[in-house]
Amino acid sequence: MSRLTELRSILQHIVLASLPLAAGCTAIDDLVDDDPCSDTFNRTFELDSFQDDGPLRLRVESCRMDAAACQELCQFVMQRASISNYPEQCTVEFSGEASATVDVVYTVQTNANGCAVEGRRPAGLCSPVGGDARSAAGAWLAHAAWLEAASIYAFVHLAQELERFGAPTSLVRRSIASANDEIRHATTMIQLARRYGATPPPVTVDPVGERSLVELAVENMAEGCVRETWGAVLAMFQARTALDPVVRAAYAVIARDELRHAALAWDIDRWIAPQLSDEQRALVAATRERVARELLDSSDPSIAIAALGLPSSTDARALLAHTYDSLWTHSGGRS
Amino acid sequence: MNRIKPATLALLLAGACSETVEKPAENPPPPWGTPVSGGTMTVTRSNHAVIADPDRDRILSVDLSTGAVVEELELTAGDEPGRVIEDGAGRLHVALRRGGSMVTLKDAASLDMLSNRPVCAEPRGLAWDAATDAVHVACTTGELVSLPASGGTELRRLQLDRDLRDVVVSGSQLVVTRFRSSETIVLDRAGVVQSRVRPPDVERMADFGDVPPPPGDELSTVPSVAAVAWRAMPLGDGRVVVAHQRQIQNVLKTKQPGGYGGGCGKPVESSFSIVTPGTGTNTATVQTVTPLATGSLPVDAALSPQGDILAVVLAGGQEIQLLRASALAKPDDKRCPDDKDPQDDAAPSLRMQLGTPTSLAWTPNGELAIFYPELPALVVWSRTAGTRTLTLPGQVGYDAGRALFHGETGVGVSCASCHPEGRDDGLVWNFDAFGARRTQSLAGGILRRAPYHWGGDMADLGTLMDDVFANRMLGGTLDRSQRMSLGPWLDRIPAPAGHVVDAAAVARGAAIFTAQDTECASCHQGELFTSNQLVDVGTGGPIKVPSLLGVGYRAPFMHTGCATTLAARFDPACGGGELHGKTAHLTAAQIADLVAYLESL
Repeated sequence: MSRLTELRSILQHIVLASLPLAAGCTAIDDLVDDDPCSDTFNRTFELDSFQDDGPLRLRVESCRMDAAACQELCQFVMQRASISNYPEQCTVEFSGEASATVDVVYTVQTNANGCAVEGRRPAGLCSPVGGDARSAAGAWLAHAAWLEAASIYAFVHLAQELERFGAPTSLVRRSIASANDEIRHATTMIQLARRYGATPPPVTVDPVGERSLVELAVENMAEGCVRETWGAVLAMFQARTALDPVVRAAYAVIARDELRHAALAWDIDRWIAPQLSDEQRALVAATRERVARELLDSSDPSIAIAALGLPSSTDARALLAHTYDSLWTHSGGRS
Repeated sequence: MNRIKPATLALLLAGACSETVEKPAENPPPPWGTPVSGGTMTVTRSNHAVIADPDRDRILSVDLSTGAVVEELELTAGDEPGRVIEDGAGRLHVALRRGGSMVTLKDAASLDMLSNRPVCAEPRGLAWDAATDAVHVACTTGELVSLPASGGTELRRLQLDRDLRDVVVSGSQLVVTRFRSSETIVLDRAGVVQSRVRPPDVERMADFGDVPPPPGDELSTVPSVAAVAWRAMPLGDGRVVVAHQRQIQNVLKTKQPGGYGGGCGKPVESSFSIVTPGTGTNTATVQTVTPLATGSLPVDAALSPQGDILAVVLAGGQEIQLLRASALAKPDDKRCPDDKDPQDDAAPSLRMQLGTPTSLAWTPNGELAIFYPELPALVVWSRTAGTRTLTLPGQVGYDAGRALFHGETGVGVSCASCHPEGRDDGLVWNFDAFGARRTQSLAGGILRRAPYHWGGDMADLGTLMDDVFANRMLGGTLDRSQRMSLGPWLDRIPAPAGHVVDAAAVARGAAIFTAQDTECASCHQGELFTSNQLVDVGTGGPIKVPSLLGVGYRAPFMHTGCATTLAARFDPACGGGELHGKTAHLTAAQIADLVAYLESL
């Protein structure tokens, strides 16, 4: 079994084990009752002038012909009202040919902090400045887009350093390929963020001098083996649970790629380890433990946004604990 | 925290005050519309948009100066009007793809029908030749027919290869494209073939996935091979630009979500190539173009009268991309189809949220007209004044299956990318679980052909869509309406027409086919020429018996595509020998008769 296949099997097991819990959290009542950070709104739109409004008329008439098409109508009228959330309930009634009533229920997260997208961050990455978001989902996606863009730098730098240290060409090549993946991810996330009315901040990276092999090993452990692996778990979770089908589809691709990136990190770790002293290897192992613990102990590792499929705090802790046990403890570690 | 409110007061009032409050229909409506073919509109010199509406079997004329619909011509149901051109006298010629004829109209102001001349089973491309005042018609069944623009009987009928798409007059030459192969055939005025060219392969980054490249391989690439040529049009300098697809030849993974995505994320890309017909002893050449259009189904494209903007319809993403024509000079040296240079965009894409656009054309004064059949609507884009939307007469067209079929999925492709016009792309794909598999056509009684796939491993369409569409293509889980609508919508797509060259040979071939000793009809039986059984015909295990309706259109043949011609299927090394019917005793002439019969189905 290849390293990638093995890692995929482990991560899928982690995500699947958490799914029944997650499925219960996507119902409206559960969100209202269980999540103190959300407000649920009901809004009614009276539509009576859509005959000359092509995009609206197309959606109204499609909905009239087929109830399944009403979801798109609800989302459309919400977007026009600058509500970027996903319609969790959607009811449409018609009064004659030229009048319709659209009733939607949607949830807004009140706490936009605690964004927990994990991925490989480059050395020298500056804190985000700027950007704009009108909803929690938009803010989360904008931050995710910023991180994906930052990962491009991280992988380019990683490829350069691996080449300098004489790493196998397959590792260098996979790093370059990962940078290309991240370009696609950043593009996707920027589009998703804009869909939710948010603009990501620009990425700024300070120049970093040449680093030693042990410094590379420590960074690879923190950013790759731990954070990127967590990113892959989270993306796999979102690919299965996001209410927004576009987000779900996007994360299915991202999850596949992040899994490869995580496998790359573990392979780099395996290549570096024999070149380190016992003391240096202990430092790398301690880094793994420390960063994993930081994730595990963070007060709010993630926030539940149903449209994006983000796990609730409870689910996120369960996922993290499972990942910790499977991959990050000394006995379960792979280095 | 706000609780969910009960039914709102507004809703209650609406119910109380209105005489009839209707709910949306629980079940989806009957099938609507045809597979998108694209390129069914022209703008005349008099500034009329003449729209062939294949979904409603009609032709509309819109005066773009006033925005008024000046005429509507109803055609016979099922005619499926396609390409529209204007000749030097202002007459309009419209190909009726399923009507099998070409309609000639007096002008855009009246749409008076001057003639409706039978041409061939499925006329596609049209071009007016000023030198001879003739209209050339390219046919799916391979005929290139020339008719007087002013009316009357045909001037010439050439038999070229099957699957002709567009025809363009370039000086004294005719440039004819073939749809799925993207091959271009150049003929001289006498109708003699001078050259055949295909866009060359380009290299794309390979998928690293679970299969590592060979040791020492610095950066693996895979070929990106030219395929489905949706639209060809003149560039005005003798060259022809072709909007086509490319097949990125990664291994397609069947078990993982998004498994059809490759190293650069997609298995099919949109592309342009430039054909230079060549003159004298110079044969035609074709050059690649840097990735310009990102998205699926480039079904129509047109160059602005100023020559500076190339507009393209990306039907999958429901958008119009406006590209710098100057970028057509840049060769394709990119790793990924999405690695386009943002500087190559002339203006932001148009996303009008009016459904799937299918056709566009520039007006004489440099505005761009775009046809959206579903509403239906015509959008006019101006560089200075933005867009204006003209709502056209007719009911809203809606079909959840049709929308699903054309919509772009998470791996950047649509169902129609590999099944253009509901048929097939003529390509062989490499699957991790099955090996080589030739794309199967969906046309011709799909609902009566279960189980599906060459291995018969998909019991019904729902099973297939859950696996292929939702999982491998990342299309999202199908809702109830999509499940109910897709099958009936696909089922209406007829198989490509058969082609008869020698009726006597066809009759002799039919006798051979149905003779007991050949055993052809024991499996290829019934109206669809299939028993729907799995049979081992000596080609590597049980294979679902394919329908033979329209088989002549479907080269290459067999499940691996090993036979490039129907005759080659009878080579035992590819066709299975005596396990696949009993044909070893047939003479070469009898095989030729059998092939003639198969071509006629």
